[in-house]
Amino acid sequence: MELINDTNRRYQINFHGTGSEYFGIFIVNALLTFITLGFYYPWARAKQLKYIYGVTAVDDNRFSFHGSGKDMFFGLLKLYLFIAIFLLIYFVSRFLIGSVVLGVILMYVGFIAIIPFVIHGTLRYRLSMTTLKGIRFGYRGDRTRLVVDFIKCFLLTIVTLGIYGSWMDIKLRTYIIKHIRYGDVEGDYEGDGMEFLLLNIKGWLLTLITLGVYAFWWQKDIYAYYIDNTSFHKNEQNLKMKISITGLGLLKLQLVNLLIIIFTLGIGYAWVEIRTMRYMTQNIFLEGDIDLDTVSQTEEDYSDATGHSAFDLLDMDLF
Amino acid sequence: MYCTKAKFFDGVSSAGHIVDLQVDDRTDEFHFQTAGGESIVWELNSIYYEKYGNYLEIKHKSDKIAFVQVDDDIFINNFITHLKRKNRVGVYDRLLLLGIKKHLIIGISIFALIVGGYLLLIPVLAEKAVGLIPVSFDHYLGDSFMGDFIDEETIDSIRTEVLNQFADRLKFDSNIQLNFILANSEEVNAFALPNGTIVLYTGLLDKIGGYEELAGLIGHEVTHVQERHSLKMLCRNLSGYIFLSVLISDVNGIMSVIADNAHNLNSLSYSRKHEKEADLGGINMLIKNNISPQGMIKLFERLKDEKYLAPLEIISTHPITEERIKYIDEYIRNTEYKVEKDSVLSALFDKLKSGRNS
Repeated sequence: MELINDTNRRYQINFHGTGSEYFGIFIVNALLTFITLGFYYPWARAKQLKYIYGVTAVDDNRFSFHGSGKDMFFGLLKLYLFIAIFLLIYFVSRFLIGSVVLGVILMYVGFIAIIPFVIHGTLRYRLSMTTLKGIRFGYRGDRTRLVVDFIKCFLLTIVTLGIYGSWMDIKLRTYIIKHIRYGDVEGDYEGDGMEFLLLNIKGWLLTLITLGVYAFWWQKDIYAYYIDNTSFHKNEQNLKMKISITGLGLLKLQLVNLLIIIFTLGIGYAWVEIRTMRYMTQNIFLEGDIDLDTVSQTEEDYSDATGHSAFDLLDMDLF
Repeated sequence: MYCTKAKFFDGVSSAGHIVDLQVDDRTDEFHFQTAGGESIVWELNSIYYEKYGNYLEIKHKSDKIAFVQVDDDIFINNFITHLKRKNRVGVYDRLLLLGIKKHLIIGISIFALIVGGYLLLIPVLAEKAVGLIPVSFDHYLGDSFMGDFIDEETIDSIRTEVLNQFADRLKFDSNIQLNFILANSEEVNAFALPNGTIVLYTGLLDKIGGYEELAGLIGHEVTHVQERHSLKMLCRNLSGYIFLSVLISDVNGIMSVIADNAHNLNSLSYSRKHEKEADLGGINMLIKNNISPQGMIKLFERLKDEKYLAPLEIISTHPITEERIKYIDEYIRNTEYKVEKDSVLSALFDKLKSGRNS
């Protein structure tokens, strides 16, 4: 922590991970998953997350992930059950009712409807299993509310041919972040759908004009819009999040990543992930007057991992 | 005894306190005092730890939230040695401690096993799995796609009748219901569908010079049906895709591959092994019927110059015709057989050949 004046503080996010350690985890995970014919996967995933959290720090205080392979295993089982149900619906409509189109539509509707459940479950599980300085994070959002909002926004996005997508993103993000807790500190997000849409239109046009080169600057603008509008409150005090990545930085990062992957025939993937996380996290800091030494424990333990494993399978990136 | 300055977080407030952490390696106890003056003792058996580089976090199993953090290299080394001596380092951490060189070797070995499994093991298992699929599926498959292969209008119904009479006289090893069709086409080809339908094109019939050769060809195609080669290839192709899709956990991929493959039944080509099985099966059929197995050789001699390639065909590129003639010849020389001239087959064959101009 850096004291800017009497009350203003600046907290830096640090990243201590190394490619060789992360590679070791990849390999040990692969070996155990391979030997157990895949059954080890949830435990492997838990180890991987523990590492990532354990090497990320705020002012050299490490995050800690308490999730267990067992929780994630049951979560994964539940998810497979859902998938089996969707497939059953598909086969029933295809072979009993005789309509392939109906089957496909029902299956897609099912997959889309499950997304908000997955987001909700993942946030609750992951955040409640995360601590920093011995204080739990938590997510207090309401599932029904998120599901209804998600489906409403999704339908509006389809009707408006995607234009509403910007509002959807901001609206859901605002709802989610406002319900994140770190002890007695509350999350907040202030974004505007119109502003975000204009940012994306500008990014898209310039990317077209520059034959793709601007894509990195567009990406930077999106990250900045997400991060810079996020803040935390505790009573009257607050901390604002700031990101200092640049388009050129992202371009260099991804170019080198590509070269590493090509020249190591993919073995360097662990290093690529570590480089990326290091670049992103080390460019994030928090500024304001909350003293992170005065946070008190408020959140409960929570261990339903359904959303959590689903998160991996559907591969959606929220943050 | 080893000790260090550590930071303790009590899980109630976020403020950490510097503590003197002392470990007695004879009693296996961890001692420290909280800011409030409370004396805490953790036993080695009731703690767990996370270690990342030169950072160590020690927690008590009953709490999980409160922890002691250490960044002193000497203490961390003592701690790991202590754990090792007490056999408290788990399998996972032992594997992690192997180091990058051994990790690289393990990685390459896993990769080699996966590639090996994909190339060698999966096809064999897939073919074995065919035994579990009921024969009725072969019929279903053949019946569903028959229309894609045979244009009703091209069927020479009069000579198809003669061809079936010819085949009826031959004794086969199994009682599969067979159905022969002669179709008008320039293509020098013949193929078998899994439901027992065997299609011969007039283009190939024109090249055949004797009833022994035709019987050899029929024996070859019937063996494909008997041995369920189409289904074996289908399972082989599918299993490979499924294996890869599971590896990259692509569930959607599996669905689309199943759909694709059902429609691409016609582009399945038999493996070299299946062709050889069919060749030898055909010869055994000839011998069983007292027909000269030389008919098979003559057939291939005649077709040697044909460059035409088509799916499910008898003169496929592999095994190369020359090689086939060689192993057939060798097989015949090591097998006892007698030949009796079959005048009925001969007459039926002549009728088939002459039918073209009638």
